[in-house]
Amino acid sequence: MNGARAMGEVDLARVNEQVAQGELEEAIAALAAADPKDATATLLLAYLERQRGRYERSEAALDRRIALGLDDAETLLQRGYTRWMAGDLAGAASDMGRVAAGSGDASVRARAATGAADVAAQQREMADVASRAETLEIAWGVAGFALSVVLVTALWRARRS
Amino acid sequence: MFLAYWLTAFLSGAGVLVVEMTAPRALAPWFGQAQFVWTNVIGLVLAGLAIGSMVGGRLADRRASPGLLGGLLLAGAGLVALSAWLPQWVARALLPERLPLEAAYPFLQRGSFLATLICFVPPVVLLGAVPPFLVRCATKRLEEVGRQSGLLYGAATLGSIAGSFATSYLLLEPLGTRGTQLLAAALLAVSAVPLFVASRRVAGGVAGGAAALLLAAALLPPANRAAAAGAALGELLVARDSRYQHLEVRHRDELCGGARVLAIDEGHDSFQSLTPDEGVLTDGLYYDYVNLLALDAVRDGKLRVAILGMGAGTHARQLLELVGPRCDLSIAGVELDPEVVALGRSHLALPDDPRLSIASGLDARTFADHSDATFDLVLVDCYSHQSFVPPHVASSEFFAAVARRLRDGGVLALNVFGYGAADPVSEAVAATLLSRFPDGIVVASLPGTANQLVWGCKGGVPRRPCDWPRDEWPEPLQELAARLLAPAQFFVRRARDGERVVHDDDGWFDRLQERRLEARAAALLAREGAR
Repeated sequence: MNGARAMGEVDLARVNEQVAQGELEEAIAALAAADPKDATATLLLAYLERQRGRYERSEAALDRRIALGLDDAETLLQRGYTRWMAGDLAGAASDMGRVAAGSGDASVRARAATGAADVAAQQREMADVASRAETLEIAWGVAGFALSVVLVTALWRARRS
Repeated sequence: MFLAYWLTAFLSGAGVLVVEMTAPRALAPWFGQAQFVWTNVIGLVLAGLAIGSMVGGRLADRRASPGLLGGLLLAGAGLVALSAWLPQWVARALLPERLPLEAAYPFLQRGSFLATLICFVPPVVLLGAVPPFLVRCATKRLEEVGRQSGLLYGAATLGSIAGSFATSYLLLEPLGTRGTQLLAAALLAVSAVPLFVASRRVAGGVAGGAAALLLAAALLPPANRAAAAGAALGELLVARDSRYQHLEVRHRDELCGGARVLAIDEGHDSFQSLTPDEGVLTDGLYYDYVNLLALDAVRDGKLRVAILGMGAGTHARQLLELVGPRCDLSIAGVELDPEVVALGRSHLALPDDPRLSIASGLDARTFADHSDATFDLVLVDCYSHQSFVPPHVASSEFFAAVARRLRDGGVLALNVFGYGAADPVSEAVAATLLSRFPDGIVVASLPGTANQLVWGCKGGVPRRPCDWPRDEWPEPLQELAARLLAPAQFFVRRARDGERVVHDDDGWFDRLQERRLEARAAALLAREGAR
């Protein structure tokens, strides 16, 4: 049956069945071999890669979909979520902000606005957190070293006396 | 005089244990009480004792004076009293004002180390100097060194035993963490008085007595026994220390258009229960999904639900309001910490409803092992120390016990904290669940949150949400389903070769959870540092 289809054409029904059966890697393999211009397959591939924690591949699939001119709100929002999960807060904020300010479906825009606000808050926090983390790391190292020196010195002096 | 020395050894030993046992609780509102916090506290207290012992021994050889020993004890008492307030100031200096939990690991791990070093090691160093000093003071002849040191170290150890039991069973509940520390400081100051008197330092004795009286008086104001306000976000409504954890109810304007939350231990931006100011839905958080799962579990117009790890009752409130009117509903809520239930009643609108029976003070595992009831849906939402799943409620043995409580076709669902379905902890929980539901489970990774729902069905593969008969649901819940299920991803998962399953006696699962937090924080901080 598969041989009857054009090269790169993906059997979405079969892929959905594989997903339903938990055969995610097999589904991913089928979708990765699909025609890159197949927007549905690309979106499903992005979901599955994200599910497996492979955020770069998920984002690449969504990028391909956007490059096809399918930069609809849901695609951008999903790329925002993928970037957020990967820790790319700036990228996530950009995508979600575009969706929230766009003219797409109201419920999608509402979800994007909520996500954008959360990401923006996290961005503000992370700038402070990162600088504090460096200071803390240094203080921790110095304290650990100083404690070791005190312990060894106390032991040494006690032994000598 | 020997009795005074013996008593001093006893009280200093008790003081060390009071410090050691209250320190993690004193740090909890900012740094949590995870295993690494306890490790830092115990390790550093022992280091402080070692330093104190070595320095004290040398000092005693140079000047074995009871008056000097009294001075050491009085200074130690002062530092113990200071440690009742110091952690909050140190925490504010070490922690950012707003700390996302997913970036918090280095702050909690290194921060608790530094805070312990600053707040609790100095008094322990002084108290560690006491036993060798006492041996030197009490010994008159070389041939009695063994006997005297045995008696005094024995007294110190007995004091430690008394300190540990008294802290847990007598002091913490009526006095709180601060009150217990202040009482220990007062007793240490009292023990210095006979030493001053013996060395004829009347002024010192008076000072010691006055210090003890002042400290005892400091115990009286209720504010000194109250729990400290920690690092959780939002306006503080109430803070309490329970037997198990630090609890705060706060109001957060940005959640659900305004909501009260229950924050546990360090809290930060995380919470365990949520009560919106209006309605019961939570803007698409995982709580909302459970209602849909419950609707699919209704059989013959009946729904019997067990919520293990009920918290302050977010799930219960939702089910009673949204699902309750559609079926004959009964809920068994199990919550280990009675104080959580009390706060739920007083501050988080936990309803007093005949359909909801609550077993508080009961561990979820005990309930699963010994209950003889049968359920259509068992929801497991058990956490300790903020984001850690205790292994005994995520093990293959636990899932087997819960499965025995399910009717045929009944559903066991878990809320798993994890960063995506590929998160190693989520994977381990899923693999373990599959060891008891081998036909397959459903994994739902909820975008934009660190929550996942995983569920298995007794006797088959659970239906995916896309197969749920939504048309039969009442209108408000159809709307909810359309909003929640459309963007979410739900997958059937099956067992994979070589996957590791959690068992009751496994220790690796705790460390896996810690490493996951460490890796996530490191990735976020590295990306932020690169910017």
